[in-house]
Amino acid sequence: MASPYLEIKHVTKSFGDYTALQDVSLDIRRGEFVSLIGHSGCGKSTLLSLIAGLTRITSGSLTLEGTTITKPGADRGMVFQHHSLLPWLSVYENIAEAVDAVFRDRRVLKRAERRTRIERLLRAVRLWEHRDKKPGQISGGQRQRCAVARAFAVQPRVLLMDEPFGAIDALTKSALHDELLSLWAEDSETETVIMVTHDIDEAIYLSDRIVVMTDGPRAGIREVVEVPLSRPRDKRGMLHDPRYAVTKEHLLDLLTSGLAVTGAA
Amino acid sequence: MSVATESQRAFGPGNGAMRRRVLATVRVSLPWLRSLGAAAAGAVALYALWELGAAISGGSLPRPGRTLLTLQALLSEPFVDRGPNDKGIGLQLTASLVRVAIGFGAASLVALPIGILLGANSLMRAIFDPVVQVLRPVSPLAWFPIGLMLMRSAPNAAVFVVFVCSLWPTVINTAFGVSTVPQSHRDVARVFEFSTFRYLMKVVVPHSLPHIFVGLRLSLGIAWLVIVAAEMLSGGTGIGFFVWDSWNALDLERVLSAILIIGIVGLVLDRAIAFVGNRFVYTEVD
Repeated sequence: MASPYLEIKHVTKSFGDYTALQDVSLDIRRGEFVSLIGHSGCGKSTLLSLIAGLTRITSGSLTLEGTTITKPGADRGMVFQHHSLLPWLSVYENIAEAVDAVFRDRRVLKRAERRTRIERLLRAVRLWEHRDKKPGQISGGQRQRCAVARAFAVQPRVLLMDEPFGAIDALTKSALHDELLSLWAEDSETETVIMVTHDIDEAIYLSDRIVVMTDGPRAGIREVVEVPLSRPRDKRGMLHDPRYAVTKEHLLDLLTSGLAVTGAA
Repeated sequence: MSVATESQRAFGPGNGAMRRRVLATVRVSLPWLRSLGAAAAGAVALYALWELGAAISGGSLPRPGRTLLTLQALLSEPFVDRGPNDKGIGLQLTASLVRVAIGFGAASLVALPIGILLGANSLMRAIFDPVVQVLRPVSPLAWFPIGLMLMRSAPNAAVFVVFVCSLWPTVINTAFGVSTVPQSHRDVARVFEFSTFRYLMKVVVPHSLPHIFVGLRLSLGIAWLVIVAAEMLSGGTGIGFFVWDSWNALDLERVLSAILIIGIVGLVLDRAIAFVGNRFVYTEVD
């Protein structure tokens, strides 16, 4: 078998005296949708930002297709926890600046192709009518959709998402899940998705595998749970699927027994 | 019914709509009228206090009515030139405004890059912040001899003083703006591989512009304060020279007229730069 696509091997991350992650190992396959789930402060966002290259690992190794990750790059697109749109740019400009920055040197996409691509993505996330508005003039859900469109626009091989729907109401969230899945299905370049979440249902609905993390400090991986549901999935139908119930119960056990252990210790 | 609606669409709103629109206009303009009324009340109060002060001083302080007549006379021939000691108020004002434009303009051109450098580099900030803090509170006129030495001309020394004094607020506020770019914006620039130039133009500068304009506005205010004082020392031309010249001629009505003009011009400058700065204000989300 070929070497893993994204390989996290014995990774430890410390901030001064504080060890956030200790000896984390995980292989992620090409084309997989993986969720990282755990309690607040368990280091799941830290792990994501290590993969993004925004922070450096303290020890261990972290490689994407055999290349060590040392800095951020557009091959790993990112949807930040707080959308992080630039408030002085319009919806369209926020995406266009990222696209122009990424494709400036590569001359892969011609100007007209970039425009078409941005328009297609903005229509896909239903923001085309709002393209000239500033982030301050649209709703939280629309901002997050814009951030998702921006991440897809630069054609990353891996899409990283840090609680992308955390601040969004349940109804909007549900619509965003389906938008995300259809973008993921359509977009040939972006195959692999890694998402940090604390929402069990969201994780089950979207993921192929769910990585349950132990509580920090010295957080690690408790268990990796396979989601036994085939795609395409149907949110309503999923609720009546016994495999869903089993998976959810198992995840709940893992997360709450973690609490009990912490309480006892 | 639908015919009536059609005709309304074709021939404009009916009576009810018109009335609503008029009422809406009145409602919108009410706060505006209110502040206009308040300003008028302030002017009346100033006039009354001034009249009272003139009465108490027993005639040493000119009365407002006579001062306004003098002001009117000054404004009736603003660009008259009858030799070095009798130039119209418009010529004097222009001389001062040109000096402010040169001094403030040059200071801004110097202060912006320095501010960006200090804001971007914490070591630079640590080195130069004490220097700025020591030079900033120095009285403008203390720079005048240095200006004379460097420029070898009294009017140009006034420009130099304006230059020095309008550096600091712009440097300090620009540095503040640049040093407070949020981590989330920096991360966006890193993930999407922004070049240094793009990062500067699309992240650092837009984030800092409101702060930069606060600095520019403070600097311009100081420049206008300083030019009057500097021209009293430098002599020759300018609104400051005009004030001092009028005092030497014991013409307090002209002095008071000049004070009114200086105040109004200062207000206009301040509002103008605030108007430009407001175009760069953005709504921070999160």
